[in-house]
Amino acid sequence: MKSRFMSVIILPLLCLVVSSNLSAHTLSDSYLNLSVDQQNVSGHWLIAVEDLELAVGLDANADSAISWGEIRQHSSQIRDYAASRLTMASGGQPCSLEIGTLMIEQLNAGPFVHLPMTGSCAGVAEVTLSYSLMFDIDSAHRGILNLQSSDETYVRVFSPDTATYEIDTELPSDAAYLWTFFIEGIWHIWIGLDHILFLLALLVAIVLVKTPGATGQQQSANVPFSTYFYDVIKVVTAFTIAHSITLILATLEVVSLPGRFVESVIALSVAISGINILYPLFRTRAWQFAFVFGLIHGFGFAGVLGDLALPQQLLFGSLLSFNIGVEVGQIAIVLVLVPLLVLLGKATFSRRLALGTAGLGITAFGVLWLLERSLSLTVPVFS
Amino acid sequence: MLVFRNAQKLFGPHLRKTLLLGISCCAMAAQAAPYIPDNDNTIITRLPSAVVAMSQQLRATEGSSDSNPQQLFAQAYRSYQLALSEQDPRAYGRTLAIIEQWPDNVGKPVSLRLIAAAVLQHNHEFAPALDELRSVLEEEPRNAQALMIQAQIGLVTAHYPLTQQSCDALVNRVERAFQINCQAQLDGVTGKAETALDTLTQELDSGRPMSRQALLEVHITIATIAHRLGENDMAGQHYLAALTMAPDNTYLLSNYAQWLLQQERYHEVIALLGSEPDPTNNVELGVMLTNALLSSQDAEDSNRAASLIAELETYFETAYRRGENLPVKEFARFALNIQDRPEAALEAAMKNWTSQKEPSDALLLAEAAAAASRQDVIENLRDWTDSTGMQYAALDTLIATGGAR
Repeated sequence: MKSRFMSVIILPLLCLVVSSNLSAHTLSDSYLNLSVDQQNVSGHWLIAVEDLELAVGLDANADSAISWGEIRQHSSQIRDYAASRLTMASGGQPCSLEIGTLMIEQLNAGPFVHLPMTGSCAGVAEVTLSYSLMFDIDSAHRGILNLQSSDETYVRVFSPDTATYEIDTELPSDAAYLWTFFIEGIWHIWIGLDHILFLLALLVAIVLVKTPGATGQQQSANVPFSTYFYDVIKVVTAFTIAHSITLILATLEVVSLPGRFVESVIALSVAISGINILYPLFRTRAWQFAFVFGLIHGFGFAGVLGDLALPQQLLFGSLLSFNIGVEVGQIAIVLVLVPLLVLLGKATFSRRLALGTAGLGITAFGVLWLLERSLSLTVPVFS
Repeated sequence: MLVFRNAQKLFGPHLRKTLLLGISCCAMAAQAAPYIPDNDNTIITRLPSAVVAMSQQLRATEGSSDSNPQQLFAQAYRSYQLALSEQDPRAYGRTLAIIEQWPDNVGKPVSLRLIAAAVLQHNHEFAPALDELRSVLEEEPRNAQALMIQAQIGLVTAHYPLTQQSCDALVNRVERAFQINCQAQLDGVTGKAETALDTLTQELDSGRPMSRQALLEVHITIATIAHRLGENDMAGQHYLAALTMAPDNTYLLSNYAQWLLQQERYHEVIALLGSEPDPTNNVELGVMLTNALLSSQDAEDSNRAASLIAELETYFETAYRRGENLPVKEFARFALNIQDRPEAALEAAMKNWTSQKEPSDALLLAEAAAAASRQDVIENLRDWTDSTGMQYAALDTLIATGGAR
């Protein structure tokens, strides 16, 4: 068989000079515009007259011109052909699709037959569309779907490779959106080790290193909780207010700082707060310190929020939900850490061990992060 | 599926957005409302001859669903010939659709794989085209047609060793002029342009018999190399010789028009391309014609340019809706020369550069980079031309001035 074929093809391939593949207006496309509302489907399908000539054969009198009469004569074949090349289903149940009276529509790409479509589905939360118009005749044919459902438009291109699309048209409710951002907020502070370490260092300095007055005498074990309760509240509140301010301003693009600078300063804040445990730097001004660096931590949260693609119509709501999520996550951390620290503070040995470990550990993390972020180094431990 | 396999990967969503920016009018807005014609005799459309021929073939084979391989081959071959003669995209798509129907249990004949490769190359689907060619050459290592297509793909994609290897393997396999032309095309972009011109002119002067097709290709190669070297007398002479032989060859027309545009010979470009009933039939030529019309500073020309711009915008819009095989090279030229949007032009030119690296692609990239003041791009391009040895006077000037900014 091979040798017989071999002799056939000779000359055309020798015209080898590369020619452009672009000829406008003649690529084969169909446009399927549907909208779904409750159980109802409506819209239209535009199929090029040239494509229908190839698929159905419209030119009855073989004069190379297609008249409206020829299209009308073939309207049942056109409907049958189109109907056999598109299926729509919802929840596993096929939808009914009816094609109405054919019309003509003139697009820039040429004349199209306009097929009005109506139908119904069991539900439209999720629709599956399978398309096979023209694919057996022209591999380069594409079907361009424009599906509208509750103010959302889904554009898909059917090709022989991707002839089926499953489209989930159910939009999450506003409450679901806000809940997502709330959870993201909690999650972000929980997985944000730098924020947690900063907070921990501040709390350790208050709970375990209580230095009343100018005596310089440490007496944490005997200090009643009430004496530093207000310090904890002040520091946590200052941190919260500060990072909420910058989180909101940065998300609304009122202020912006380069990401690398923000991340480096956050690392610096962790290092300084770690040192503060070992050596008093700002113990009497803890809330002011928390406020100043809280401003920078807010930029860090905003960076995460920026990656989440805020829905424009729910911008403030999502921003607020995220912020509340961060605070709730933070209160949860404080509620776990403070009693734990109080417990560790009861005995001198555990208190000193905790102080040393926390001081050295947090300082080390802060310094390494600072090096990594400011110099773009890769520290293997953190990568 | 063979066609457009990698197209989605090639063009990211960002570029598609760029393609749309600045296209003010919208294709959908331009739609007329659907209507029912008054009269059965109303002619809706006159079919292009390729569609008439394909429809006849389809009707003839209708009903015989179990077409045997021999019939399929005959259909594919006829469809490919139609695609070549009519340049109708539906005929190219039809050819591949027929090849797709080939039964899995029968090996595809070499000729069929060659047709598939030629169509894929036409669609600028170079990687799948090369796969087909590789399979042919494994079976027939010195198949001349496979080698010639492979040489061309190597030139377009700047895989010059592939072209060298293919040209070498053509020795004594094809008419001598084709082999010499293959080598000259390669030499023309790898730092030996003068040698290439000498070899080809000697071949022409030698009086050895040469087929018409070979003569045409030799004229085109001489013209394009001389064009790039700035040898305008020689370029003009051979462009005209080639044009008298093949006035409709789009590759030739686009190179010649580019050469005229570079010399600001706008009226000649308008005369060359302006008689086409629908210049957007080839978008690249349509953009060049628009450029010439806008530059000619004639009121009538600028009216015509305005309507062409609208047509081209619609074309790019339609291509965008399709979302694949975006015409990035043509769009880059359009954005640069017509819309005066250097950033958009540069983005498209850079996208084009990832798949095509012919001298015209390099020049486009350099022009867009210079307009967008992107010295880094120009410097990278200079490194690239230094390493390949590509010679192009207009490009060198741009690189020298652009790089020195």
